[in-house]
Amino acid sequence: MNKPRVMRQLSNRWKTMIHAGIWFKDPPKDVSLDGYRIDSVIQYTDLVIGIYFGIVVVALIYFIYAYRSSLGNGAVYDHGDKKKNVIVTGGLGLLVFCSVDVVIETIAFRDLREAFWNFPKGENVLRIEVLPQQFAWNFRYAGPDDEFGTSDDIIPTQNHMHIPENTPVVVQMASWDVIHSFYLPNFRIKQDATPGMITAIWFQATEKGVFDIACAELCGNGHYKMKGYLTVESKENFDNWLIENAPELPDDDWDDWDDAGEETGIPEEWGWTWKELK
Amino acid sequence: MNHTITNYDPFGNASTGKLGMWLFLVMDALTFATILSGGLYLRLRTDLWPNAGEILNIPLTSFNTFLLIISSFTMVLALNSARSKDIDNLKLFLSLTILGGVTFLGIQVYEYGHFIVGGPALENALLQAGFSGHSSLTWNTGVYGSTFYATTSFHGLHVLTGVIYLSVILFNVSKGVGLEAYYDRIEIAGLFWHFVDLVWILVFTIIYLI
Amino acid sequence: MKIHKDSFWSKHIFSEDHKTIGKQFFWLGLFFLFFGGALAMLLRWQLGYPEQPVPIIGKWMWPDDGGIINPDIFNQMFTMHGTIMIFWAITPLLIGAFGNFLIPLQIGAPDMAFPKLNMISFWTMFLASLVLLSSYMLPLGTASGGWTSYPPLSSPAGGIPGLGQTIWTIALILMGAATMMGAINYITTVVRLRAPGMFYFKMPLSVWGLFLASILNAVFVPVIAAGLVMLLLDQTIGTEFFIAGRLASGDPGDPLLFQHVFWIFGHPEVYILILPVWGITSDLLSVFSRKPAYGYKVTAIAMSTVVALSSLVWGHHMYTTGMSPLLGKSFMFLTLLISIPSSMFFLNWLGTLWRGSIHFDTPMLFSMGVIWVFGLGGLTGLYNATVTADIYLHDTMFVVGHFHYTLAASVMFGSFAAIYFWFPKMFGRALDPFIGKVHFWGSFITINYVFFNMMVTGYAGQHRRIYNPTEYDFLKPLSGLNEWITIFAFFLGIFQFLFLLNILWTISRSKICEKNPWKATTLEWTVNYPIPHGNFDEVPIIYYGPHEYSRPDIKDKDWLGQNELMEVKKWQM
Ligand code: HEA
Ligand code: HEA
Ligand code: CUA
Ligand SMILES: [Cu+2]
Repeated sequence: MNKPRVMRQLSNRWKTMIHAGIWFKDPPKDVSLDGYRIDSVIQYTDLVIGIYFGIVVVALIYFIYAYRSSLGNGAVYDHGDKKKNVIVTGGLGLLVFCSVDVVIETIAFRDLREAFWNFPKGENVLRIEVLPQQFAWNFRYAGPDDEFGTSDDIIPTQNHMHIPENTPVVVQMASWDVIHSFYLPNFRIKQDATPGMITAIWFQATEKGVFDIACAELCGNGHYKMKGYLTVESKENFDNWLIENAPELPDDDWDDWDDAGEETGIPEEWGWTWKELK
Repeated sequence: MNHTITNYDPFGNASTGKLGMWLFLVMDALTFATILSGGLYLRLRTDLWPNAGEILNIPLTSFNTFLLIISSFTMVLALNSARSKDIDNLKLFLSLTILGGVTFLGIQVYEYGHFIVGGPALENALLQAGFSGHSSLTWNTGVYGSTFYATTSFHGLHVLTGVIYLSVILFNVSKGVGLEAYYDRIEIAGLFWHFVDLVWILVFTIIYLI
Repeated sequence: MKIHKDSFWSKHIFSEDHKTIGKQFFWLGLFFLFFGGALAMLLRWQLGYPEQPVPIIGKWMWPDDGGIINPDIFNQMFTMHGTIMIFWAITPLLIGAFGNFLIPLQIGAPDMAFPKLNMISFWTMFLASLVLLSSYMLPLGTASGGWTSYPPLSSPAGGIPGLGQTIWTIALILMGAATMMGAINYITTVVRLRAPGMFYFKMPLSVWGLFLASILNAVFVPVIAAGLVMLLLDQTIGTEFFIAGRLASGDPGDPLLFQHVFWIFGHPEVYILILPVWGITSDLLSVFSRKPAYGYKVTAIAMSTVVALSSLVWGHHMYTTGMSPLLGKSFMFLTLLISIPSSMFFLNWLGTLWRGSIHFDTPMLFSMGVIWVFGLGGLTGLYNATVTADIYLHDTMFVVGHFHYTLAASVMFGSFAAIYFWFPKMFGRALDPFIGKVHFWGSFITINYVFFNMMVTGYAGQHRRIYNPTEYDFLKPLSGLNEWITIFAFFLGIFQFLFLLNILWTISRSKICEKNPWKATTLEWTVNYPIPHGNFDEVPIIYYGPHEYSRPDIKDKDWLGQNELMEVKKWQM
């Protein structure tokens, strides 16, 4: 029989497995304006924590080596409770605090101020309402009149969200049933959608493509497949897409609209219109 | 060798049993604190909250409050009699305390019945407060109903426990336990009773008055 | 001192002797540790080999699905795994078993302050266990809303079928009642029954840890108990505390209220689990380095500081719920503050080893393992504490990796250290050291692989509680790693099996060992096995702190018991 091929397959399998087992995995590609901030604060923490943990490990190994009882040395009778000792531990604790905690805190607060909690305002901001339900994502765009809750609102197919490239997008969400969480791994963001309250988040895409939307909060047995697709495209394509999805003339299609709701399972009532953020 | 090392004990005078009761009361107080502050939190988030007196019968409940305060007082008298080994008075005041608790419970049950049975007057009052289409106030009548029943019934359970607890004490006293040894037990029961009364003042203020 | 006479029932079943109750908790905890561990194995199977039939037992357990775990079962499994591990495995093992066993013995007390309450506490816990397990009989299965059980998912509105969620709540309320009884007992015992001379700053750090954990229990279990009662009312009679109307339209209940209540308790809860481990580790490092615990007082005070701070940081679990910026920042700041006292006692651990004379017995290996895994686990908490990083990391496997390092790895290693160390006192026999070392090295290597790579997958974006990661394109590259984690987790499981065998084998075969095999100084080693009901023949009087090792002024031995009055010229106390 063709033994070598089996062997080759096996060894290939091993190669991939070994590769899979030891290689560090990168986070999904960052395609957002501010995602780098999160990556960099994580990397800074990696670095300093790596150093401190490295020191701990080196110390540990050295102690194991140098103070093992088999050397026959007795231990030093030292309670380590003199003022000097306390100052040293306290000082080292403070050192760790200042070099790690204070720095990441400063970075984080700056990023919150400059980006994540600094919601963009103005004409060119795209506003989208998100209404998750068990187990799908519904989206609503304001339509031509730029107001939510009117008959020209655009509600595309479930689980499909489109945004134009390089445009700030503000998303408001509230849940239809249980708590879900709007998670865009490629944008490094995540926001809970809770029934009874409106939450918001904003982001801006820097690259075209189709990206995963995931639900990050346990919401029932379909939680794992509550996924959507975020398409980032050029402004023109996006506008075309909006037009394609626009409801037909409001007057004569209200009945169709209801039917459509039944078929697709999209809740008919969105219940909230855009809430101006303070 | 005779060493006299004594540990410093900040609770030097209290018996071990009393210390246990104190701890229990701290924990119980935290449970109440959670329920009460949870209620306040929910109240802040909703407009559907009747004003004081709109639905609840404040005079009746004030009387109930008064009853509990009196029963706390009789409890103190009971303890005094126990200390002076006056069995007859001890029994009398314990009975009065229990009676106070039972009456309190009776009135609470009456109040609940009144709300659950409902009627046009209540329906009207509820409508005024914004609850349309309800002819009775139950634990399903909005989060207001939930909060009201949860808080008051949790307290009611405590009163019930206290009544049973004191009845056991009364029973033992009537059987003729040695008051010398039993005094501490009575004091511990008293602690519980005072606590239940004290909490009621809070519940009354938060649920009924504000 | 009074020695009790016991019948079979009062001796082994409804015993009021803290040592027997401790052993009862021990077996209960051990049973659930393996139960929860077996669930973890199944979880890992599904994550490593999604939707493939479980080998051997699959066909038999889920014949309808052809041996494949379905999404409902998966959700039930991690819910029960988390619940069981935290409340039914580690809590009984550390607080129940060692709390009961150690506190009176180490402070020189004849028993707990309220022996009867102690017994009732165990049987309440037992009842809670039966209630919890009974949900496996339900036709629609157990709870599946996660160990956090957020409403509305966990309420009838959430769409989880059956009674599982209600039974879960009832079991937890019972468990809470048992814990509160325990807390009353432990605190009163430490405050009241310390032997003469056993000042607070002479107590072993294990007692400190257990005492502080009990204080946290006393303060925060009532909070969750109230929350759970409200949840139960929502589940059964239809109140609306945590149920908001559809959308923002304004039915008035609030799901966030539950999250606040849960985490006000839940964050301290994780310290409840680890405080005993911190204490035990500090003590054991000292015993096996034959050197006083470095900075004893600093460690005790640092642990107390963590206790105080732990009540102020619950919001770090809720960064993504949409909390106000000011709150988010305050919670981050307060959370980070905890790293100061933590680093201080952590450094003290290293200080104890420094210039010691280190003996590598099994308990020591596990204690040194705690240094490693807690260091990593604690430091990774900092990523989560960072509001911005947590926007990305929240609810990913990174968090799962973080808390398995602290919770599963540190706490489990701490428990193992304690079991190896005190087994001779609890059961009179020493566990086999060779199997013990194999157990340690096997567990240490596999556990690090498993939990470190969980963090790696989390950083690569894999979110938690998902039945099948290959559903998502961005997670496809991770499937090889997930498979590896699973393989290592199985080896981890096998090494735990070895541990179980060691225990059973030792109890049935070994000879009674000497009174003080580790040459330790604390009071429990001064009494012979089996320790009578009532513990000490006469009240011990304490002269020294718990870590008098390698005193230069004694010649023939390198330790000095806490109650040994030494005839020396200048004795210091
Ligand atoms: C003290 C707590 C504790 C402990 C000790 C553990 C121990 C382990 N946990 Fe657990 N875990 C939690 C607490 C804990 N966990 C919590 C709170 C959650 C969150 C739940 C939620 O999301 O709601 C969780 C969730 C969780 C998940 C995430 C599920 C998800 O979100 O997708 C995973 C996945 O790998 C996991 C794995 C493991 C493993 C491999 C171990 C190992 O350490 C287990 C070690 C193994 C044993 C002790 C088993 C003993 C051996 C046998 C029974 C023999 C069988 C052997 C073979 C078949 C080989 N745990
Ligand atoms: C025993 C358990 C335990 C312990 C001790 C900790 C300790 C800490 N935890 Fe963790 N945590 C959990 C168990 C634990 N945690 C669990 C179970 C969850 C998830 C629950 C769920 O969602 O299901 C969680 C989740 C969790 C979150 C929420 C994440 C999220 O859901 O998004 C956060 C965020 O801040 C956090 C932070 C911290 C911090 C800052 C500490 C700090 O206390 C750590 C302090 C320690 C150190 C800082 C390390 C010591 C110092 C050194 C090693 C430096 C010394 C070196 C030199 C001087 C050279 N934890
Ligand atoms: Cu929706 Cu998870
Ligand atoms: Cu926390």
